Amino acid sequence: MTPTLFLLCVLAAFAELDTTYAFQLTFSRGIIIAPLFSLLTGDVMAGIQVGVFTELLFADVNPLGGILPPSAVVCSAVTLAVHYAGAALYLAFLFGVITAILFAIAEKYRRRLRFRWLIYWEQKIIKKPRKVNRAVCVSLLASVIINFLLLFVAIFIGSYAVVWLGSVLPGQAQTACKLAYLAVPWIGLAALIPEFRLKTR
Amino acid sequence: MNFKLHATLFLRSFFLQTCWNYRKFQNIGLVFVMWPFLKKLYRQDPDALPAVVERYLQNFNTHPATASFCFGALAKQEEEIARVKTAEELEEQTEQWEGIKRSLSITTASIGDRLFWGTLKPFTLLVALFIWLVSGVNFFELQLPKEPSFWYVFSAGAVAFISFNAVALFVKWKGISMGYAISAQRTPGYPI
Repeated sequence: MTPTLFLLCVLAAFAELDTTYAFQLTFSRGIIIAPLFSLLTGDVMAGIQVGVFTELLFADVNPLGGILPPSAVVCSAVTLAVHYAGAALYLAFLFGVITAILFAIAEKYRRRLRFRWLIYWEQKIIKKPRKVNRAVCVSLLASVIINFLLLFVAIFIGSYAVVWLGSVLPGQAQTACKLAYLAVPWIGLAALIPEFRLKTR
Repeated sequence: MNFKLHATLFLRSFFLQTCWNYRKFQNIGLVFVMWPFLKKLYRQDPDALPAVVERYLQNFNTHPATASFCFGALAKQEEEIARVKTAEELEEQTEQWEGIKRSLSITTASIGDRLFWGTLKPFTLLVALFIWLVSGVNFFELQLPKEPSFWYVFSAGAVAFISFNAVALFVKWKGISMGYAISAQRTPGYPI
């Protein structure tokens, strides 16, 4: 784990807050955050491509109610970090997408597990309402720490496993992965069309 | 509602979803946003605050941008509750407050999801893709040029970011005063 990747983990842990927990200014979108991350890792064009692909791939999944779309921040950060560690971009992206989906599942469990903790805070807030400020601060801090730990583990494993996989994967499988990677924007654009159809019939 | 309180509610609204949970959704976030207003309103009667806050800690779930309409309308109705003299009036006004919260949160959630996630987000994505393609960034290729201009990196993302937030922040800011200005009977989604 180089200082660059460590810094990427920290930045991504904070940027991930924008997805749900704070701001929602959409700087956590793939097209915005991935080019910014790529300034750190060095390959700016890879950043733009990963950002566009991430955004298009998850374009039709919106955070409505309890629906939790795979995180664009996690996908972008993990992909660019693994690519920076030496893996081919198409393999790094596949790993990034899998990590983002796993992260969304982990996030669901995290929200379920928070029940008891939030009941404790609710009781405290009822007794002393000003404690709500502390509840929000603690919740933000806990989210950053958990995001960082999950990202650190994913990037640490990915930067070794995907580089190794790239070296042992047969040529035909590599070609299949490349084709799958290049199909992503077309799948995304196809998924985007229904978004602009008339919503009421 | 003065400008300072309006700005405080606006800034705090960025943390509405910090304690999001599957049981009561944005309930703690709602208390966090409304806390400066409630503290000021019940300055003369701080003992009433725990019961008021308990009411705010019930279920609340809406879209984070359009939630500002709820903050304004709930603040207005809370002022009515703070003014009541009898137990019957209190019950009636509290019931009305709950009706506003329930109906307005559902309405604003539906409008917000359609407007922001369903329309504005994909639209700004297409604008960004268009700008990148016009600028000569062909992200469909596997072999990418290594040293693109700095303009390529930020232009499209910045346009998407600014155009989305111009609408979202305007709605967030204006929603508080609009929600506060209308009467309970004219609240969108309020049962007639």
